[in-house]
Amino acid sequence: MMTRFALTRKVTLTLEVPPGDSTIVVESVVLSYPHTEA
Amino acid sequence: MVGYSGRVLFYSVTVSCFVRRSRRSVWRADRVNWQVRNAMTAKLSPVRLTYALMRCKLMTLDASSGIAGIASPAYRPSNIVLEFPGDAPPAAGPATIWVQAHIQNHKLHVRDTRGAPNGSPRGGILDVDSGQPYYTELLRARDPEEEWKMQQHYWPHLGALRLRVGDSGEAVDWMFLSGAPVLPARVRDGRWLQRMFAASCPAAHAPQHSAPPAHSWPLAARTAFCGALGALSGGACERMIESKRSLIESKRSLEAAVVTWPRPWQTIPNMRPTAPTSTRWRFP
Repeated sequence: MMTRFALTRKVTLTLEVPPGDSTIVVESVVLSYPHTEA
Repeated sequence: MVGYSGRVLFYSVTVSCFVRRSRRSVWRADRVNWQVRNAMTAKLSPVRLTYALMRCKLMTLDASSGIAGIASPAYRPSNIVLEFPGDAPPAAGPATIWVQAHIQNHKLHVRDTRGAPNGSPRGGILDVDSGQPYYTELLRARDPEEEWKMQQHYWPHLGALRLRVGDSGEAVDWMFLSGAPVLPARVRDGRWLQRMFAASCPAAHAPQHSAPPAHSWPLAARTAFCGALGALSGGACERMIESKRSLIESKRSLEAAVVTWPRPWQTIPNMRPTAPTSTRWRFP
């Protein structure tokens, strides 16, 4: 995944929702990664 | 390097990135870089970066970011593409993702877990040979270890969200794993749940759960099968299914029933499969 991310700077996030009826909302996502630039 | 995200009551956030030189310097960095100002108390979130780094790129996405899939109801499965800006520096190590989500009013496709397929007190066909209502038999043969066997971590797919990352959908972890039983009547009905969730990518520690496919059936569907079989087998089947002395054995017998018995909507009134899968049933 990181190889792909290094090329595209994109991350695909997939949520598998449990069976049944519900309301699921992703409120926020925080992404972080280390880098070595000064 | 260890970094913390902390929230001070009514005040802002401090995010720290340190250079790791030795164990001693890490200890010093933790103590030197924390600043809590103008507040009597501070609340620290459980966020921890566990990889060594010199600097970190941190980006928070919410409803104001314009990312499709964030702050809108999710469906199954739901894909969200998270994109760093073009000037983001190249990654020097594994990324970390925190996901904050909530689930509301989760109900499996079951109204009554005690065996009545249409949700009414009695299903009509679910009487046992002795003439007692099916409820009575269910309660009498109830397994005292039922809740222990139905712990959510055994069957996480029934009540938890699985988080996958990457184009290939690598499973990294679960959200809303609470250890609570997943019997349909007890699955978080009407409650708001919210949890900050951390998943490192790649996450070799991610728990890999597997469950027999028959368990994904709602309990009422299983008992409905059982009632149909019980008409032939003298009522022994319903005792077997609800006693759950061996849950796996019960499900194996039901899988066999799927092959050898007519489909349930042919014998159970008001019962039909729901799209798009053939193994889940809705009771109107």
